[in-house]
Amino acid sequence: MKETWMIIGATSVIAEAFALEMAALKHDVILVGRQEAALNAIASNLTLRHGIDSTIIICDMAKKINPILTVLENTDSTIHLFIACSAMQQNHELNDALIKDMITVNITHTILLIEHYLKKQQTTHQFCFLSSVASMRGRSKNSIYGATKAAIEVYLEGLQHQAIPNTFITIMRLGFIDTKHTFGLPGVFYAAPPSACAKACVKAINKHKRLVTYPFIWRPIMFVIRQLPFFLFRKIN
Amino acid sequence: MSILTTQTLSNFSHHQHSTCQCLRPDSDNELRVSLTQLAPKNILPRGSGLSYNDCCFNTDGIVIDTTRLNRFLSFDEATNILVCEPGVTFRDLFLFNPNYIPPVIPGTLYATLAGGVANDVHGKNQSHQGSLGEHIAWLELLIGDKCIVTSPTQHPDLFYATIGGLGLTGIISKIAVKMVKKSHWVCVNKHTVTTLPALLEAFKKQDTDYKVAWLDLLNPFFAIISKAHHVDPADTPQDVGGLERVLLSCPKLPFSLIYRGTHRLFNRIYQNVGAKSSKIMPLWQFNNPLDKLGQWQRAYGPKGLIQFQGLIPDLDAELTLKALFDVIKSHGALPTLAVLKRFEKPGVGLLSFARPGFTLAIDFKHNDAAINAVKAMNDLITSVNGNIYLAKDQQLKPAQFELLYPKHQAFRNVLKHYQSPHHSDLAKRLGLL
Repeated sequence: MKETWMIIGATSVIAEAFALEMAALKHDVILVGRQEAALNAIASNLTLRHGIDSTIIICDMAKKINPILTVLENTDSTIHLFIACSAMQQNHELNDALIKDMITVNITHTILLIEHYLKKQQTTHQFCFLSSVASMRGRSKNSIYGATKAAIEVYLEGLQHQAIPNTFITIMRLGFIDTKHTFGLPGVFYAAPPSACAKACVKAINKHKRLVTYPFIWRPIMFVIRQLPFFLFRKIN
Repeated sequence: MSILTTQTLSNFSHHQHSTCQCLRPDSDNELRVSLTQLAPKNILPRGSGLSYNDCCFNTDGIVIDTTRLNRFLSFDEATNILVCEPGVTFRDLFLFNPNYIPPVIPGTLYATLAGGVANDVHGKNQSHQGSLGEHIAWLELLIGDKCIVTSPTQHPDLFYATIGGLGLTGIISKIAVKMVKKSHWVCVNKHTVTTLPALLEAFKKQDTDYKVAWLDLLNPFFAIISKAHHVDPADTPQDVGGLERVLLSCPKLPFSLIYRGTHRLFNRIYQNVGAKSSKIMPLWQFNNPLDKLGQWQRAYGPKGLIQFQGLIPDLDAELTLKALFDVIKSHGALPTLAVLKRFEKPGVGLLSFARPGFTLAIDFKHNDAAINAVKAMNDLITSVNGNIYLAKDQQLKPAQFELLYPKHQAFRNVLKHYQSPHHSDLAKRLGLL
């Protein structure tokens, strides 16, 4: 059945790869992001490659989410969500304003968006949230980012615990993906291609998975890291 | 803005490596912002890095990896013009629409379109369609912080310098390519010849859309001529599936799998197996059979391979080819794959390779004998006023380059006029800068 996927943070390479996967399955897409030119290029690409309808919404999640909510409310057909937007700086790059922005984008507006989405009148609700392995343990480098992801994970676990009928929530906990954040970075032993990550997201969504760690190798790695006593964890850079 | 990171890059032949500062923008805007902020003085765009030589290297400079700029932007059905970003590959062009094909298809579908323009690539249909540059309607170029749209009528000097310009004129940010409305299916016929005159005679007739010959240079002379022509779409399945799949991928090996004895035997077997199939098949399968084997060049081991590709003028073509085969034998080089094609149309770029004649491409196992053989073959081609393909060659000398490419000074003038900040290892080697 034809579906419409609303992709929040559509200019990120993972979100774009996911949009391509969905377009290949002939689902329409609504692309949400800040940069109009980039969104238009992605939308044209999806339409030309797969002949689907792709529309764009210009919206800065750090400022407001009303444009997204308006579309959600005014669209009669069933919409599914792919939430890939997040501020992703390391602790040392942040100042007061950026910390506020990060919390607004990654927590406040993400929760508001999900709450409004779940109230939308449709028979099935399905969404996928991109989290990070950084949410699993606080590291000195990126604990603020990790904390924002952990907050949403706890919130979503609560929703999953509620077991709302016909509501499927998938959390993708991502390790290294080959994006600009990992490109050429020392210490990156393997970065999965965004297209493979997008395929993993589609698979997890179709199987109604609750939580998936991708690439899989991060599952045993994070299992070990979580078991480490703090004095040992502190010694790991 | 994208972040510059130190990377060690290689090329298709896997025997060379180069360290540079690398930038991989995700969007056109990111590319422009990065160029404005960095204001680089020593820069080179790079696509899939599938050239055989140093034309995709810029040692100690900045390399812009364009592989993430791979979107289709618009298509006009009236003119068949597809506008796309530079990192779109020939494979993407095949997947674009089952009723359209790229006008020219190089030896691998994984090359980017901008890379194809920068080397003015040709296919097995050169005698009909010419090289890729003929099918480019316009190009948008970023030179430093300037953005210039070039076409045969707008800034033609820059346009013709960019076609086959080895990425030295600017960064191609948009390409308008004229697609061809034809089916993805071809009917393939093969026949064999055992003498060189018979082979050259077979190429004289322009009786089919695609024509190529596989040569066995390890056994007594033997060639398989493959011809293909498009078939009516009504007679073929619409689905051109299979383009997504790679059958087998060769891992990195600490040793070479290529030896003279085994390869001679392989050629013997291929003489029988390769000549048999006459059937309808997808064009990409006919044109790019090796794409099914991922990273096949790794079979050559850590030393990799080198390739010679030269243009042999019609005058005394048979004698020249015989002389080239003698050079290979006398140097003891191991030619593993040899392919002959026919050119009829000269390339439109200032540094285009194609001119009327025969083009011979030979892969060699990389060793001193092969290097010396290629040097001697370059000397021979220069003496008969042929040409050497700059996307493949690693041994050409600056003086030979100037003899073979008479428009080199016009090319240099364009670089100077538009103040291009581009460099490459090949440009330094050939004294182009």
